[in-house]
Amino acid sequence: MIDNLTQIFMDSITSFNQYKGTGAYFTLFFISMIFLSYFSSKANPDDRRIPKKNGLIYTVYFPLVAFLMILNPLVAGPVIRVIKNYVYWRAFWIIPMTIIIAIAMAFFVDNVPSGSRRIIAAIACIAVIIISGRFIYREENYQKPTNPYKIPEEPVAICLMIRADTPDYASVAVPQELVPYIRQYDATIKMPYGRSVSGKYPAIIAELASGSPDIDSTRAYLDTKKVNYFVFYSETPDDVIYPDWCSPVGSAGDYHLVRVNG
Amino acid sequence: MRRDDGYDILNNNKLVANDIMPVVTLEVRMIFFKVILIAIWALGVPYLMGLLFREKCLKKDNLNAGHAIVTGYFLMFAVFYLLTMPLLLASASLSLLVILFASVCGLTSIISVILCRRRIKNHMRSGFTFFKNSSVIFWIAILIIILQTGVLTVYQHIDDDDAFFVATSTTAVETNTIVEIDPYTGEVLTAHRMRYVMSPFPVYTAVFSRLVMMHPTIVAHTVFPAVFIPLAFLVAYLLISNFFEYKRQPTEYALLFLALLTIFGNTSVYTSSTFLLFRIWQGKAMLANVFLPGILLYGTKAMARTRVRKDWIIIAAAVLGACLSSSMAVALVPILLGLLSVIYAIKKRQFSPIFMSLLCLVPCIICGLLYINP
Repeated sequence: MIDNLTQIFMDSITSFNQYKGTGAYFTLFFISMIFLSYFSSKANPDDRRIPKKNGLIYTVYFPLVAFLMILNPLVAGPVIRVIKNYVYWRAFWIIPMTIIIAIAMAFFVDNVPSGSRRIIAAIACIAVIIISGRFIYREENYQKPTNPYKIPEEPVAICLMIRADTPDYASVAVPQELVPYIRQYDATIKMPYGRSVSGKYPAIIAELASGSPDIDSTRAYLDTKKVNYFVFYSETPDDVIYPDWCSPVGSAGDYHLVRVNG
Repeated sequence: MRRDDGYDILNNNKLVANDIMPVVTLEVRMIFFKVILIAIWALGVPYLMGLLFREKCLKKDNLNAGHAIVTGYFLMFAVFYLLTMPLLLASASLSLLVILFASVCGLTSIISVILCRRRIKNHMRSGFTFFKNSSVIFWIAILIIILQTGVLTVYQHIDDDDAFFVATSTTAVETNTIVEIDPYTGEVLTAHRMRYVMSPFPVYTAVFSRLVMMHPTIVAHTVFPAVFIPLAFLVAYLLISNFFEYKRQPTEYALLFLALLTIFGNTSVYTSSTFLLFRIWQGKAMLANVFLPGILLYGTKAMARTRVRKDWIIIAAAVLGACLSSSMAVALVPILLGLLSVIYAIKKRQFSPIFMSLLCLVPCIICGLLYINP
């Protein structure tokens, strides 16, 4: 029992470390709660500068209790049983951290006398946000789309080539990097395998991505799964030898679509 | 076969200008028509549904247009969930779901226009006054929010989870079924994965795409960011203005700080800000940024009252919407509502917050039991 609870507590700490990232916003969050609590303890309840009790419930009391409960193994245990430990960090979503930080900063600025001092206070808050945060608009996060569907161009072209070749039954085996996109574009095209979260794929997928596939070795799998198209990756497609049972259809970049004859 | 940009893929020829011009004119008209459809289903219908509920059910209500939109969205998602689940279990077609959903929402909207027309005019006038009286701080915040919306609408963020979620939508549209076909392979599902069956948010994407006559992948990646990012900020704005008791200036400062905190919130890939600006079209991002803050907003408003009132219906609708959006709701919504109700029960020395929360959590309890014992 103790070992189990200890393990659950370690899982919740791991989830916390995943969620907090650099930890800067969590620090701001705790400072915000302390700041709002401090002002609420002021003597005069009619003072407009004092946060009202109802507001404090969802900016201080609820977040604090929720944070402690999420780390509590007696609460985490049943929750992890439902949502699994590798996504337990989502439990922290119930705490509106950025909203609380924004409220505390606005409360601070609003209590500075208006004029240049208030502007300086607002600029200081903005500086804190910029310095402690991490800018989201980086090249690795966003790209210019090449089509309205906002998926890579190659899977779109492959789907169009398949549908130009046949309007009937079509099932295609593709390398791993194309797997997520085929059926996002055209769900009439079937696939023998989909995206695997665990990373386990049939052996054919490695052959198709090898760059110089042994096409004959894929036949048994394709026949078993009733796959009538496949795509392989190669920068030198002219070197690839096509057996009699298949014919090339077309290419999209370095990806080459082949039809299984018959 | 012509690709979307006019390139003839079979003959490797660029189509000549005379071939393209009539097509372009028709396509411009179609795009304009689709934008109108999107405005109707993404803004008009939720607003009218929320307005009708708040005008006729919540008698003494401040009838703020923002609250009408958020309430309307929760009610709309709740209606969608209640329509989808029986049809899903009965293996009905997607077309039937589209017709029923459109009929219920359409009828409600028409009734709202008839019964609440004076309120609609008041909202237009008060909305104009609101924006006219807004400070520079507010407009800077709005500009930043428009930037965030624009970036995800115009640019792409590729996420591998779309292999399931977006493919579920395209599969539903292509096969005219509701969660009967495996989105990964296109084969008939032999066993339902309960957590995805009970949270069919991609089916909402499919229905929406049918209503606005667009491809589901375009709806998910382009239309939904333009709709749901502003919606998430609207919910946050209402929560903030509730704290400051609707005082404009501190609320506007808080909105500005929140917009900046979101842009600089990529401190880890797991934060709600990251999900908002990366993949808001996925149900779990909606849960984190719309439903959970919305339940917190209306939960505090309902529990702060001295008597139990009909605004608990909004919370119940939000809980249903949360269950629609993600299987995570089964655990997260009870924690949120449960803790909040215990705090208010202690503060007010009343059992009603806990009792009413338990009633609202019935869908979560049912879903949870089905996940554990499918």
